[in-house]
Amino acid sequence: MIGYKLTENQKNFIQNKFYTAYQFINCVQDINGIWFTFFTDEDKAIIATTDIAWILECEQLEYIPPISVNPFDN
Amino acid sequence: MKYNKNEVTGKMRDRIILQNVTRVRSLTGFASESWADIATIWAFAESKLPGSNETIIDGKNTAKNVCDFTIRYISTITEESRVVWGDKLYQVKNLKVSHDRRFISFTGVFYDSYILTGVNVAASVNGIATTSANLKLIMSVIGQANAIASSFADLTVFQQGTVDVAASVNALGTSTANLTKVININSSVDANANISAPLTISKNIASNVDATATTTGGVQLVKLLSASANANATTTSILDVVTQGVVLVDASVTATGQTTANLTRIVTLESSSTTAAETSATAILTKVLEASATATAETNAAAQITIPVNASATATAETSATAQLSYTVNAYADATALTSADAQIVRIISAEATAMAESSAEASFGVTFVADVNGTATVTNATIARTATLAASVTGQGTTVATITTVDNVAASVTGAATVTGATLNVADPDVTAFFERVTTAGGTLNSTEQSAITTLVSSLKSNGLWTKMKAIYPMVGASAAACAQNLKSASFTATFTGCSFASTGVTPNGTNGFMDTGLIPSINLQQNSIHGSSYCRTNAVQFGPLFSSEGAGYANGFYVWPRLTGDLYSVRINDNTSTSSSALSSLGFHLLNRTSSTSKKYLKNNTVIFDTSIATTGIHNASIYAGSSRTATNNYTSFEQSFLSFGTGLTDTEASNFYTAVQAFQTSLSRQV
Repeated sequence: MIGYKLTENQKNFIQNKFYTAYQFINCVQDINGIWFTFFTDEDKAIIATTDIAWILECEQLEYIPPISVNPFDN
Repeated sequence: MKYNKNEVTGKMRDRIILQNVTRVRSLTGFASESWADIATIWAFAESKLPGSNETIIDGKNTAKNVCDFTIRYISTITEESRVVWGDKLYQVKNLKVSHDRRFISFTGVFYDSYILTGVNVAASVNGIATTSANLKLIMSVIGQANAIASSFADLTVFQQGTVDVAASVNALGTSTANLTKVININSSVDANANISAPLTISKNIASNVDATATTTGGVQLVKLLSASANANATTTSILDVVTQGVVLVDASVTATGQTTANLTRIVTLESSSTTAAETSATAILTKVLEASATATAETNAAAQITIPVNASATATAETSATAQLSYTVNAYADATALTSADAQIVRIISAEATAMAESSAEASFGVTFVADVNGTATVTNATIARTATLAASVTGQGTTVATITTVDNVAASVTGAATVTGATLNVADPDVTAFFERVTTAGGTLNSTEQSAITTLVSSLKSNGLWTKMKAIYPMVGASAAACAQNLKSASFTATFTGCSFASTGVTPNGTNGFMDTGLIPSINLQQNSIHGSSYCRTNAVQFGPLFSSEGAGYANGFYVWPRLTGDLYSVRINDNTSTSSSALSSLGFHLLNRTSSTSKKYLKNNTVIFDTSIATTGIHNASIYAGSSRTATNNYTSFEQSFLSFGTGLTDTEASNFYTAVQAFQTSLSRQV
């Protein structure tokens, strides 16, 4: 899945930031520890009108998720 | 002749006309003569009175008169000349020329029976009338000319001669005026010529009248122009024509009238039209709502209030088109219960009546346009439904004695009188109404199908005793974050989203970083040993993650369901640390996690018990429940589409079954059941 690559500072700035009354931004790290965030087309249209529209100009890369812990292991 | 020329010259005070004769003979030997004026000169005339002698000439006794004349020399006078002095003719006799040839004297002989020839009697009347004025109204313009000419004479024609009697009247009238209105214009000319003479013959008497009336001007309306001329010529005479002769009597009248005027006529056209439309409609609505409620709250008891509603409304509107009656009845109730639950009563009764009247007509000159509209409407088959349920519950722990008094005040006022015939009153559930309002306030919308489905779901939950078991219900309708975020059960625990998409079928996280945060914290808002959680999943897929979850590190005290993870297994924890798992070949359907005691742990899917085991609770987590992701463990994001979520207290088996039935019916009514 293609996502927007973020720096640590960018992630800190936008993490949990609301762009509508009921929608906020969540950033995740890929397998290499690079921060990403993802938007639907509807989200992009909304964000483009906000003060964080610069996110849409960030580099877009393929996101590789990290390995998850199987709950059966616990 | 001897004379004193100065004396003679001074006496020449008489005016005479010298005439000479011209005699001719026709081819047949007929002789004729004519006299012509030669000169009009001064003379000294001396009559010799009385007459010298009488004689008979041509059978007539004739008296001879003599007069001596002296004139200045003129060469054209002869013994055959004659002179006219006054009204008499004197034949020239005895011509004598003075020795210095400056004067001539002769004797003029006059015979009484002479017939004058060559004498023209002329009478003329010239009348000129000129008017020049600016007239605004001329009633009549009359021009009149009277000409009277008369002659009296005894004429004897001894020889061929001509008698000309002419009478003419010239009348000229000129008027120059600016006329705004001319009533009559009359012009007349009367010309009378009377000739009295002894005439034995009457020849042709011709009278001609030429009347010309010319009007020049800008005439918008010409009333009347008339011109007439009357010319009468009457001759009465006695003529003895001794010889062949011609008597001509001419009478002519020429009248010329000219009018120059500007006539103006103003015609006023008036048109008017009047249109009036009246609409009268009378709607009288009278409704009386009386409600009283007495509720006594006891531990683990429910209070119900029954409110009778009597409403009547009379609306009468008649139109030639469409008539509708609308009325609004607002009822407000404030209910306060000293419990942890909010009681709300909302009464809404609405009806509308609209009267429309249209009329059209063409209005033209002299047509009055009137339109009336009377509106009368009759309401029939109106259905009013009302269901009201008030529930209050108190849970007391320990030795505390609590007395709860619930007072419900329901007041409704309606202005007007209304009578509804055959109507059934349906009153919306207040919880449903409140939910709709939360969606609307948040900026979301629900269509009528979704509203109907919600209404039925709530009614079913309440009738099955499930409503009070709920802490949060997310029906996932409205296809927007604003709508899907709303808790059906109350205004609390409004959700937020990240990385999710919204459709009429539900909410789908993106499986990468998306989830729904309910804000519902199990350790605060739920119970460790009486808890349920449900999810309606429309995605069948193997995904490494939960439908919903709240868990600590290492999934401690987890409250979650993984519907189908790797190996086609499910995994469930209900406030415990045991991942109860078994085969799961499908993630579709209604998943219900249910614990009714510290040891009872059940998992049902589509009302089928997956497991019912005795596993003790270990604790309850203090972080909000996420849907679509683990709460603490990272990277367990799923993309299951969920169209229902609920959280609350534990359910009995019967309640669990009824719950599935209600939720499945809800999904089916929205055409998104699986």
